[in-house]
Amino acid sequence: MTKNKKSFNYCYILFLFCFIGFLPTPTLANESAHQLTIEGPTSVIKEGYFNVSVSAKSEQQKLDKLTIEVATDASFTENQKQFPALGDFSTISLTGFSNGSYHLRARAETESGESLVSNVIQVTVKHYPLWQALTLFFIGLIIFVAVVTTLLLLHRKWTHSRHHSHD
Amino acid sequence: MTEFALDTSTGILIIVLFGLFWIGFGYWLGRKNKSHEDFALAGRNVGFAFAAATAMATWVTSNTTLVAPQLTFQFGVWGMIGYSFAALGLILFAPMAKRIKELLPNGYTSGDFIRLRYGQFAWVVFMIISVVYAFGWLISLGMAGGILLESLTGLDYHIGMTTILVICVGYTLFGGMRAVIATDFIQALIIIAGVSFIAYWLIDNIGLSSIHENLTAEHPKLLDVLFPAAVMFLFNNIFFGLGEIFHSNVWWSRALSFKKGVAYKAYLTGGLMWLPIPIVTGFIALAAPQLGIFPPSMDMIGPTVAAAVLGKAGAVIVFIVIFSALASSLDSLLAATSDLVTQDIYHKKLKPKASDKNLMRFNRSCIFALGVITWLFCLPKIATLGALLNFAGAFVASTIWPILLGLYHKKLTGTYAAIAMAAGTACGMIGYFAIGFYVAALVSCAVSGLICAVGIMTSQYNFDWKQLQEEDAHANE
Repeated sequence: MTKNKKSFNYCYILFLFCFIGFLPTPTLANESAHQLTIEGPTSVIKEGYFNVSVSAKSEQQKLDKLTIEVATDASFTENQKQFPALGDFSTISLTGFSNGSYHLRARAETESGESLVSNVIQVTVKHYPLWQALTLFFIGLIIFVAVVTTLLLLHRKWTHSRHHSHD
Repeated sequence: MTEFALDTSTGILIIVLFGLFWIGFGYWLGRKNKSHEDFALAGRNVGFAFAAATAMATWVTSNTTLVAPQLTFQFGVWGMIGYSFAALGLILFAPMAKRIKELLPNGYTSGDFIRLRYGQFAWVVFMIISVVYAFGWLISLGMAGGILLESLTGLDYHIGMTTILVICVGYTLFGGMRAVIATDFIQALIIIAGVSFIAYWLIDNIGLSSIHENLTAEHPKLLDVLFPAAVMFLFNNIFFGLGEIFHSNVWWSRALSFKKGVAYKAYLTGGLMWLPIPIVTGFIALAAPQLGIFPPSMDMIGPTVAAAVLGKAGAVIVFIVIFSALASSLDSLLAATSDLVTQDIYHKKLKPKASDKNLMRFNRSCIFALGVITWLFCLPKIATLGALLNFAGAFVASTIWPILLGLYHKKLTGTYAAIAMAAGTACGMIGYFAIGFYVAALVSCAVSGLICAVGIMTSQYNFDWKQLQEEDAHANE
């Protein structure tokens, strides 16, 4: 191998090492960004309410100012809302969601004030069809009217027969 | 983070003081009990004021103070309005209470009626339904005690739950039905005053318009009158309420313990007095988003919101109101269930010649045993209050038609009544697991009604009402 070729190979190898060295390290980045884990429902929500739970990477880690952020886009720029946790609880009940897909993540602080962010989960809300709800409603109404009518008619018949027997 | 309203030691102090007061009061009232009839039915001599108060107070339970807000938090305005329709159970029971008093002047329990009207087979099915329901309600009440203290003070759920059960079992053991009804009267006054005060404070401090604005912007579904799950829940809740009251010995024992001519007015008045209460307690939940309160479990929403608005003094008021609601229902349920077991199983089946003293002793042992079993079931917090109670809806809604027709119509036989209850329950359970809790009672009532209708249309049988007044008679087919 000529001297020039050897220099070229060394430069090439050096360049390769530099390239690898400067690559972003996603695993490490994720570990520091996701010291919190948020878990939520995995199936489609049909009633518009659900619970989410948050846990710290270390069980001894105390979380302060735990808040759930909700948005309709993954970058949390659209329709963003925040829901604080109650007391020391790490489970939160959320309600009143319309049809749609929502992205959720948790934020908290450690005792030393360090900010922690969780992974992002997606929750899909798709309410029952209105025709189904109204069908059940009217079936219920019919049965209810039948119960009330039966009760009032039979009771009236009994009170009348009582009055006649006293007469 | 939102903080707890009371510190743990304050919560424990209040509950200990309350507990000592109620147990002492129960002991003092219990001195008047000379016979088993005194212990079980307060001597069949309860007047209108106490009767109406006990009807209302007993129906104000953990459901009203914790589940109504939970359902409002989940289903919005329909949650609280739909819940208030459970008043129809008391109102529609009013004419039935009059009929019951007429048909069974010496009767003790709803089980007595089913056994005499329909026979053994129907009685067994009915007793299974009654026991499942009674335990479902007892467990929900025990759980509610734990949830109440946990919401307000952060105290461990198991401690609050145990304490509530010990206090209620204690004063019911000493005083029987007399203590139950007298404490109900006081608890009714506390509940009405407390709930009105909380609602007024809420509207005054936060304001209706700001609550409405927040909900419209952040949780629009809670204001939607066409919220599908809420619309489905509505009649299911009504049938659940009807089934609870029509079948449960809690209400039959009251009808039988009231003076003659009082039952109809008492139940009607009690129902009308009860109707606005779940609307007020449910309304409290609508303020939660505005206050930034999102609890770990939706059944905690009521007390946490009320306490957040009213501060420490308010938290004490909330605590007393909810404790009163729990206690007024827990004592009734303990007493009535124990009566059912004592009369229907112990007296009628095992020891027909038991003396009055033996019956009283057995009744008290029953109350204690029920308390212990309830405590054991409450230890694992198996579900939210709403889900647990609606599980029982599949059972009780199946009794609506058999009870109603059994009281007024001669043609329905015991076999059809039993099949109606069993099939209704089974179909209700299938609906519960296959579709959701909001169809269980509706399906159960519908199936039961269809079977009863077939039974009446095909029947050649005519029941003789005089058989109800013969203690050892059985209905013949």
